[in-house]
Amino acid sequence: MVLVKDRKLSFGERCYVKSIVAGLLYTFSNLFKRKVTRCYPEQKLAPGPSFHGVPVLVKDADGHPKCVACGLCEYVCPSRAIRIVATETERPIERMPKTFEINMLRCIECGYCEEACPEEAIVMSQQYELVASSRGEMRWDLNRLLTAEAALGPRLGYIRKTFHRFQADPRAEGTARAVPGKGGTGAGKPGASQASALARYRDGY
Amino acid sequence: MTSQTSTVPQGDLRTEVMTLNMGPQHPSTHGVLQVVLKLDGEVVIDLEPEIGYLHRGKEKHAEHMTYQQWFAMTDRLDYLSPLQNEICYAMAVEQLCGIEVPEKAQATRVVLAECMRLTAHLIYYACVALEIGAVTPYFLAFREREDLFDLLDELTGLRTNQEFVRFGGVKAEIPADLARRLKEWADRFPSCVDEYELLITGNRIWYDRARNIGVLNTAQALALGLTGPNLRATGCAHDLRKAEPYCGYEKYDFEIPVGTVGDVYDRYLVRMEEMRQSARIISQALAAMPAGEHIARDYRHVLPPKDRVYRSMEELIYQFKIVTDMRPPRGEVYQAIEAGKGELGMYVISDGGPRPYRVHVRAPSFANMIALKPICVGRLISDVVPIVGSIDFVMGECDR
Repeated sequence: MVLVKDRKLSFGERCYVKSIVAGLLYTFSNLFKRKVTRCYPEQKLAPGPSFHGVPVLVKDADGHPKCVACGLCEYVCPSRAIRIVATETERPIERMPKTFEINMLRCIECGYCEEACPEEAIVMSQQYELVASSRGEMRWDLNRLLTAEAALGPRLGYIRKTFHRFQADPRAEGTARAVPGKGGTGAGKPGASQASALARYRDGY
Repeated sequence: MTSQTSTVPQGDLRTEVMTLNMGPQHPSTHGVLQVVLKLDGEVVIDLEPEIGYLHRGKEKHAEHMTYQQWFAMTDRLDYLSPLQNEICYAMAVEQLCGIEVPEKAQATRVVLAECMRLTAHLIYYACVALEIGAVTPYFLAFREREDLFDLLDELTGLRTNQEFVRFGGVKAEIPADLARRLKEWADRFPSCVDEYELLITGNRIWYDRARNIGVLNTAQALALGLTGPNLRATGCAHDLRKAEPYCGYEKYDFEIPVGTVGDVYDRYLVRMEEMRQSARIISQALAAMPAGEHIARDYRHVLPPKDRVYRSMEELIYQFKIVTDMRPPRGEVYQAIEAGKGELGMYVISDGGPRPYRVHVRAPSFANMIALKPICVGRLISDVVPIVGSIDFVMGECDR
């Protein structure tokens, strides 16, 4: 369980020669090995669906933002990068953002906005190169943020796979839905009450 | 302060103590640390680490953020092992709320924590060798670190500051394909450590610069509050993963390397062996990944599944409630884990509101920093640099 590490130098090592020759040989052998670096600006990275690029807003088929300006992303953002002004709309969703601004200088790309969003309206894109010549250009407005749903396909697929349901969802397995218990949201003590609360959660509300 | 007699002949030669500023921009100070040295010739007679150059008020931030939001800040404490900070904070709040973490989430956390120990120790190896003047190890360490970051990037979406741990578990499970490649990497990694050791372990230049330099015995180390590899290098086999197992560490077979002398060389040997052991743990944890869920089903603290949020009012309410107003019960908790640099502790006090009343971080880097003066005083100035490297701290965590 306990491993005592100790090391004395051998005679060859004490003469400097052995380890220096071994080190040099190893270093030179790397000349003939596979190159591990990438020439970045020429060879672009191809991020996978899990990649967190800059957050963007999803545009629906009619060109409207899916966002209903609930303000949850604005609230959850740890770096307070998001500013939303809401307005009303005649469309069935009733509310939409009048202005939606993400300050990309503040954004840390943590993805909490995406996780909090109840509408699948803000998602992390695969864009990772952020360059501007002024601070103002880094404040992306609604027009700049809106991205067609088709362009975000892999990420939306990832979200659906990751956040959509629990691994072993009893409903998915066809378990009969139990009678909903009385909803209790109070901060109870862990233990019996928690177990029953968990059971309620498992069986549906 | 020890009285080191000057070797300079007195008499008509006028000598005086010289004050020398090392840092805050010195390349060997691991961030922005200033060390004010008082020198008598080449001998250090006093030393004062000036910390605070990287103070960003992370603990104060916690009082103005929700519990969930502060995860983003924990990443930025010890930025060489962000996920360990997240795990520690999550465990503290989970204890406060009484959330039971599923086994699969715990095993995933073990994998992530050991990956972070590897990246932290790789940086240690890279820097400590560079400080002696060995440049090649730096590139070798970064080679493996990049490989590991590529894998973590694929899992978490971010290379560093991953924000992957959630209350009750982790954000996503490790996909089977990625788990296979990560296991392959972990199985291959010990041979890379052999390569690292080939370069400097038996090298007499490194040996002479490290052996019997910066010696600390167990009693001194304990008195200074040292933990982790620095304590184990003195021969004390204290490791929280064995002493107070968390996240199911008791299930894994690994050994605690300890040193014999407690010098720079022992700290190096211990960390190199820890890397091999960490790779073993990753391999075991991935091979025996339990079935089940990666996050607890706790309706009060864990966000509901998204597809239900879109359709059901009840889940929608919980989504809003948890994001904006998750309130752990009143109480306080201290949770410690074995991070790469020593015992990392999170002390969280809740007053029952949606924001922590106070969060304090017991940062191993800060305790390590305190040891700098007793180790260095009386030694030559050229030894200060390897000692600073060997006690391994990160200023982001030290200053917070």
